[in-house]
Amino acid sequence: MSEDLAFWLSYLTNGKHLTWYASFQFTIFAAIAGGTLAVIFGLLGAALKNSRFLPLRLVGSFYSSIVRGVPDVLFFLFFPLAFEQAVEWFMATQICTPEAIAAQSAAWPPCREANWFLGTPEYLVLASVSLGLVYGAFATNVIHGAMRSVPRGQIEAARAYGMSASQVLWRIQIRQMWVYALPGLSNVWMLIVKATSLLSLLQIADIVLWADRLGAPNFLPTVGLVHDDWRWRYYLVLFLFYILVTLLSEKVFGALMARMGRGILSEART
Amino acid sequence: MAQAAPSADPLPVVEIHDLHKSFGTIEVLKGISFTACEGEVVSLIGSSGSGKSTLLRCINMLEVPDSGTVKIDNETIKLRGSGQQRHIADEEQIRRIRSELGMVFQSFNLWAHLTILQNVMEVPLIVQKRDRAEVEQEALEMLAKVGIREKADAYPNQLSGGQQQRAAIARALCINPRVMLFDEPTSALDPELEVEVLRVIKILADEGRTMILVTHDMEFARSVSDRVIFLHHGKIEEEGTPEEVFTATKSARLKQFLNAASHE
Repeated sequence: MSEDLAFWLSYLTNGKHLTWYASFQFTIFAAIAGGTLAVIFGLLGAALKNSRFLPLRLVGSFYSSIVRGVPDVLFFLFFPLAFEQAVEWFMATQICTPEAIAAQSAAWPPCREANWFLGTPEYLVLASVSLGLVYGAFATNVIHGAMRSVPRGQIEAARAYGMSASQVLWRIQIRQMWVYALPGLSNVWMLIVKATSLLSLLQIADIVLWADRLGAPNFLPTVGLVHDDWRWRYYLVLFLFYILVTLLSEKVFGALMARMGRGILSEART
Repeated sequence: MAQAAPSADPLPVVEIHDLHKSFGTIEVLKGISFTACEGEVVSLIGSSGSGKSTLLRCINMLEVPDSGTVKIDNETIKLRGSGQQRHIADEEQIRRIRSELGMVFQSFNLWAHLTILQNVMEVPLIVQKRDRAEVEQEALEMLAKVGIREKADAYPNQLSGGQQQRAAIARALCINPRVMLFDEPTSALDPELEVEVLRVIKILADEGRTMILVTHDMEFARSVSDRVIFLHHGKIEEEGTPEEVFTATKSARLKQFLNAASHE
């Protein structure tokens, strides 16, 4: 019995498992950063859609209608790569000498100095921006609709008392908009949380990648077969993690709703 | 005394000259001029669709008139363009002028996410940029004046309609308005709640505040006004003291209107 326990303890605390546990931070970081960016892009998109200038309005509508249709997996693969190569191209125009270009044997980048090596932190940031861009398009729609739900009369009263356009926007419209936007934004948030399972596509050693590796049949030269295919157990742990995140999110959104809905939602619901 | 004696002529506060306003092809105001002087209570009456609310909303440019001018304290509100494309020319000016016009709406339009006290303090703090402690004290006084001091920390949706409208009046009072504009302040209220709001408006009128009041309540217009203006199809059909308008009615249309109103 105690031998069993000792085995499990040492098994679950070996280096690979500790790395796996640590990799949860990537997922959590990507979700929170992606979610924050999605709200920021959503506010920007909604502002564009509400703009008085037609070109800006078109940009906003294009963003919310087209980007929503792009598969997140595809965008995940496309955006960081495109961004990396764009940066490399720009650097090449600045620093590559003709000799360096002539000396370069690979097709890309143009010269060795222009090579931009991306590590996990850089990929993580790019992943968060990708998430923010894709789901910001959904948030744009949610926020745009929510802005329109703010009662006209209250906006009119704010104008009638001499508030400037930006005061009306920030102090009345955006402040009240959250109540109408939160249910939709919580959907967007859950989609972002789910999309964090794609991080391994960007060569980030995330929780899914590690679960895959650790669950695979495991041989050690000294011990022989440690365990056979255990992947389902590891995936089960991931399920539990995501369910836990879901429950926690529900709680947080509930609290936010109560805070933002004060005075707006009827008494019975607060 | 080197100074000239104060003139007996009352000072004009709101001067409206030849206002025209159309919505699409429907002409709502067809050339309206009137003046409200310091301390005067002017009531605008007329059937629905006569343009009385639109006229009131032109005073603070919630609706921009297609032609004609509005002067507040002898300052013309600057507009640009013509016809239905006409718009506000000077944002700074209109914000300053609006912050001195206390408007009370039919549907209260209190800001739902703010408490009653915050509602009353919002404009003095944010638009007029006055000192917080001073504003808070004044706001509480205004709430006491309209009789809902104890509701300061409640949210609008926790109050009855009558209380909400009194809070909206306190909000208008707290900006130290040059003119108070009332747009059918009791139309959304049950009769028993109407009374408490009318009582407050009466107190303000008796204090000598300059007020322009759109109302359908003839009894009240009669008791509170210095001057009554009857609008019909976008024109001033008759105007005068309450006595002249309600008792010595000249226009046949007004007679008909008053008759219908008294049989409501």
